[in-house]
Amino acid sequence: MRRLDEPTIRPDGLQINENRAHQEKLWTIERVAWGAFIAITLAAALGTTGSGGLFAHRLAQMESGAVDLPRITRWQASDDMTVHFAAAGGERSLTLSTGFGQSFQLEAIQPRPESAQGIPEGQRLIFAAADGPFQVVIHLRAQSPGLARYSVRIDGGAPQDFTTFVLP
Amino acid sequence: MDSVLRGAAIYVVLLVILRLSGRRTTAQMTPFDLVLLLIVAETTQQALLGDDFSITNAVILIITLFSIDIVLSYVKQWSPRTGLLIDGTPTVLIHNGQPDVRALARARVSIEDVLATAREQQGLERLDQIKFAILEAGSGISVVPKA
Repeated sequence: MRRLDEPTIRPDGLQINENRAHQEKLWTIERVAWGAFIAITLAAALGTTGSGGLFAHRLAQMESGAVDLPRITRWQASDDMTVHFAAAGGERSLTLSTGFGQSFQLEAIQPRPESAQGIPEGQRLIFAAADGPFQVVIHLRAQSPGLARYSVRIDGGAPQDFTTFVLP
Repeated sequence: MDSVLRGAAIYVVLLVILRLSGRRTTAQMTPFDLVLLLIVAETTQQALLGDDFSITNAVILIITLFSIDIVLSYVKQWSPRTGLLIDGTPTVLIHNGQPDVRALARARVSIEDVLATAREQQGLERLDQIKFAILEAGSGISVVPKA
């Protein structure tokens, strides 16, 4: 029946389109959805939707240090990546592939690199370091939703590939 | 394009979540529900606009939201199944003076809610003065008094 048609008059005199079977189904669906709401809330609290939480970041060990980077992040939201340089003095470098530059906007780097070089595989950030380990925090912002693929290299070590899922 | 996609996505998300949350009547709203509603509005505003606060973006978003709403109202008129899915149907809570306990429980409406509406709408004093109480698809509880 189209919505412009008149509802039928029931034996009790009420002119109404009550579809109880449909409403019963809807009540059941609602209750399933409430379960899903709770599951999504718990999953988000654990970090599966990025922006902090147990699963939002991962720590990857590399030859000359380690990288703590987002496993899941959000489009146009700020996040950070921390590079832990193992103890060694002198000039240290961090190489980020072209894919990283295409996927993320670098908002700030602390401490600031002494210089940045454009190289065929992407960009190399050079840091002047005293003896002992130190860490560099890179504040970044994802530029588009989807899977971001990139590689990171610390000093002259082998580049390691990573993926970050960017939620819309 | 981004503005239209954001507008459409937020419209659909809000429609689905509000529909599934099961809140059926504004009469049942507590002051805290109102505060929650304001928070939802503030949250969606940021998701809608992103970091583009231009008038162009705002105008496109407003037109997008109204357009979707108009199209959906026609779709609901022409397709009763879609209308059923989006708006639900009225539910008779009290039938010839007899409360439908299951319907009241599933719709999370108490006898007190019905009595409050009966007092406000019809000036009724007791449950036995109510012939029908109907939880309308979109506009709260309506009460028909016994003749």
